[in-house]
Amino acid sequence: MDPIVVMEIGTSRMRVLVGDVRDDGELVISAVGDSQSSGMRKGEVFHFMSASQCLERALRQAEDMADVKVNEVHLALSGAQIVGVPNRAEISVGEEITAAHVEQVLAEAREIKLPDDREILKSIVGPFSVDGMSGVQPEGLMGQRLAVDVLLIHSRKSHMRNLARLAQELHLKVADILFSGLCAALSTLTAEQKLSGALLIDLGGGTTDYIAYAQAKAAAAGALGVGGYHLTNDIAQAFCLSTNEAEELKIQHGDALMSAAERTKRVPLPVGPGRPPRAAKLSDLQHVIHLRMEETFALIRERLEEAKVLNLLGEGVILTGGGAHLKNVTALAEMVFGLPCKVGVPHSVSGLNINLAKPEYATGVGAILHVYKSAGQRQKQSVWKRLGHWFGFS
Amino acid sequence: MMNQHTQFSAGKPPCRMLVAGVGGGAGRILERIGAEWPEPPPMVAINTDIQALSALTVVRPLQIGRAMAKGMGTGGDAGLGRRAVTEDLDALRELVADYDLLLLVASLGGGTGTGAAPVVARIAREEGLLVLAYVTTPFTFEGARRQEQAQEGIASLRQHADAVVTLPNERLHAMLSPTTPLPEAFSFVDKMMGAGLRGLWTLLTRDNILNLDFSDLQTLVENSGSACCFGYGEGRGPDRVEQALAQLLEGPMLDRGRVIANSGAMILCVTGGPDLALTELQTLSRRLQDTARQGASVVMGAAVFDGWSGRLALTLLAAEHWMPPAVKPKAPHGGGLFDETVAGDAQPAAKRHKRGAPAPASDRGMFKDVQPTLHEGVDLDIPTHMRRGIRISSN
Repeated sequence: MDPIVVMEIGTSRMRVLVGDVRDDGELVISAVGDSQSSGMRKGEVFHFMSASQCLERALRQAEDMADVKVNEVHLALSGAQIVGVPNRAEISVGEEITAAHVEQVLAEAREIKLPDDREILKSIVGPFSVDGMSGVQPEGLMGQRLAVDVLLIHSRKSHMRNLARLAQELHLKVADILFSGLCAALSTLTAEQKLSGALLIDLGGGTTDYIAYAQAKAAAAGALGVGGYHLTNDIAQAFCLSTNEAEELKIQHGDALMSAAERTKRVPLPVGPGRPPRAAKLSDLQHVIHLRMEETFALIRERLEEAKVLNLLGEGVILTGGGAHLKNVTALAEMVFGLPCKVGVPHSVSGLNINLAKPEYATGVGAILHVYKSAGQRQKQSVWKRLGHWFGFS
Repeated sequence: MMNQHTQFSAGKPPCRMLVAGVGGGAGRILERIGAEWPEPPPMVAINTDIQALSALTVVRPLQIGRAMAKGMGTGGDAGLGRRAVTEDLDALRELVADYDLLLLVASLGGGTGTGAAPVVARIAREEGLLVLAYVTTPFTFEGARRQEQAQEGIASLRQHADAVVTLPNERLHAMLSPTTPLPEAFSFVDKMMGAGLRGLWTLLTRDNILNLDFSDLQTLVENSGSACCFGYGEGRGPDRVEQALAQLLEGPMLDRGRVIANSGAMILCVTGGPDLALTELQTLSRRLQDTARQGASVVMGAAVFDGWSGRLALTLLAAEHWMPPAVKPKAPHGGGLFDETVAGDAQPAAKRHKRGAPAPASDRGMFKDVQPTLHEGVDLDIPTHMRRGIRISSN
């Protein structure tokens, strides 16, 4: 099997991950290329040439590390344009359910009216039900009615095209485009968490993606055009700093909660060479960050309330992405959602000389897993098809 | 617990106040109240539109953006309003130079008021004035665009003014009968705005039986999270206190008392005739204390006009948000009515320190070139603390 290559085109980082399936069937991440992004705003291409150069840098790094020549990639993308809508379809069967029936009901579930400029990025297939019995494997069963729940994730066509063009510019074939929030969930959430209900929030640089699982299915998903850069910008404006200085201050002293004990503590502000030293109250920095993060979480909370899934998230909230490193961000999320919260790191995949157990790798690793699993499914399917042919079924 | 003693302003320099209206709507409001006030404070109308300015008789006109707007209006374009005023920054600095307090009036939603008022506020603050912006927002029927533009204007004003006192036309709407003709509705807005300005002006600049102090206002404004609103109530005859209180506490302007219940600091301006009794003032203060939350600072001032026998008017200025102490410890203030303030603070002539760094050219910072992230008309790219009017004290 060829190595699986995914590109995560983010607002703050571009990452290229290479996954190898070893002879014993184990999946190993053999290379990670990582480059600071430029030319991207809120998950969208803002300046094509600089974005393309950044992506190339990450690609070359990964190619060197894995010693491969990459021809085909899968893209993981985010963007404020992304919207998730749940949909359900039901067909009457009245005989043994075949693969054709399953395809038909899925096709109907994917059928929604979208404005001309939008298309479906991904449909997450939820549980099938046959005559009201949910969570069944429908093929081969007898039944009157076959139904399926899906979560359709759609985005603006131009958004997806622009990102695909970035890869095509590097002479790469784009095999598929994935929603980064879903990818992050794939690598961090356990089956148990999906079953009992959990919310994943991926705190990216330009956008914040979320996906909620409830009652064993993806129940809501979307993205906000607000991310870590907004924090940086808030800090820059509050303390009259440049973007780089604000970023430095955020990383060094950022905190999502205001602590009473540190009310009088001051932190030095970055100043240019030859300028007098300045200091700011730590509580002011905490306050600026607190307000932004609280607002971001509250907006997601609002959307989940509208989707009526907020009360179904027994396993709580999992935070991934670079923003999950922010001090006390889990404590703030616990306050806003009233649910337990922790940082999610990718599991069940090992890296070759790379420590992948960091929240910022959740999306990339999840994308590799997604490709790996769907390739496996396709193989299985084709085996069944072949068997079916053998027995004269189809 | 209340210490009751009147406060005299003997020996204290009076607060030097300028009232400036930005845009056509504000000009009309000032012209109207200028005609009604017996001894109005200096008032100036700032506008691009030479025709509107030439219609003024009481209010001094200041034309801005001669090159850019060519003597015309801004046609509802706030960007043009903002650019127009940048032509005349020196004239603005000169205008505000000798004052301590600027009451900035703007009808938000239009081009000049929305675009230019934040710039005027910024310049005045840079010159060391305390800037209190009194703004109206459009009626719903004036359209979504004006509403949105007005919201942007408020966000920007909150950043540049010390406090923004909003008078949402929609709340006023609730005070009118549904059949009220449109001109009457607008003139009602003008009247309310006039009452709000007048209450403050009277108490800060005249020798009254119970004067307000500049430092009272400053305390309120600086702890207000820069969002204030005001209510008005009036009464006549023997029942005047109850009538005025009912209007104030139950009227829509203060959200039927909810604003008072949540506010951390309030200033009550009482205007009455020579028959204004001490017991009436006591009733007023007690009733307000009962409605307010515990620990809220309530300051009262009272003025007497000869022609006002049998009449009573109340104007309440309330800080709309309660500032959590972890953020900004409330300035030590007596808390009770009639509390004497420390005389050392009360020097309006000694201007406040000039603000440090000038405000950034755009609230959107690094997002200034990209499509805004909008949520229900609010631009999420603007820092949350700015949109909520929370001032970061380090600068």
